[in-house]
Amino acid sequence: MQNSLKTLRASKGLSQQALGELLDVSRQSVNAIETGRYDPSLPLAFKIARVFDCAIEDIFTDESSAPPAE
Amino acid sequence: MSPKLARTRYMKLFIPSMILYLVGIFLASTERIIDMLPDGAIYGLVIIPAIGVFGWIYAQMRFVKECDEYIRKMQIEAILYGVCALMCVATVWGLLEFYTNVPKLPIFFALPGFYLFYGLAGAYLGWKNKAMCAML
Repeated sequence: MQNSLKTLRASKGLSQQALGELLDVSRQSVNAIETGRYDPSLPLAFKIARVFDCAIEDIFTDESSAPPAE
Repeated sequence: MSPKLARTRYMKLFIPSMILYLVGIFLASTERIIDMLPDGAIYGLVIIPAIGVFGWIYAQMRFVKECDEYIRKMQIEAILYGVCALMCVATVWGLLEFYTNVPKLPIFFALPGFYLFYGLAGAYLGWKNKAMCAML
C-alpha cells in the first residue's frame, strides 16, 4: 500500500512522536507506516483517518490503483 | 494503552522477576547451600527461579498484548525465530546425543538458549526495521 501520511503529518506540523502519541502507537510504528514497511490494521487506519479528518482512501491507496490524494 | 505505559508495566514486573530468578539460580547452584539442605528442601529451592521465569514470561506476554501492533508483530517474529532456532539446535543435538559421543546438554539450558536466540533475532529485526530501541 502507498500512503500520504508523511505529507499529511508535515502539513499539520506534527512530529512522528507527536503523531504516535495521538494514535497511541510508538514513533517507530509511525515511521514504519510512513516508509511503507508496515501496513496498519483497519482500526489503526481509521484512527489515522480521524486524526487528519479525512477518509481512509484519502491516505492509503492500493499500489495497483491511483496514488493517494494529497 | 500507550507504548510508554506498556513498557513501564513490563519493566515493573520484569525487573523483580529477573532478580528472583538470579537469586534462585545462585542459591540452587551453590554447592554449600545444596549440601546443607535436606532432599525435600531442594525441590522447594528450585521452584524459586521457576517463579521468576513465570513472572518475566508473564510480563513479556502482557507486553506483547499491550504494545502497539507494529512492535507486537516484531516481538512475535523474534519469539518465533527464537523458538525455531532452539528447536533446530535441540533436534540436531538430541540426535547427536543418541548416536555419537557429544556431551549431554542439560535441559536447563533451554531457557537461556531460547533467550539468546530471541535476543539476537530481536536485535536483527530492530536493526532491519530501524526500530532498535523499541525492541530492547
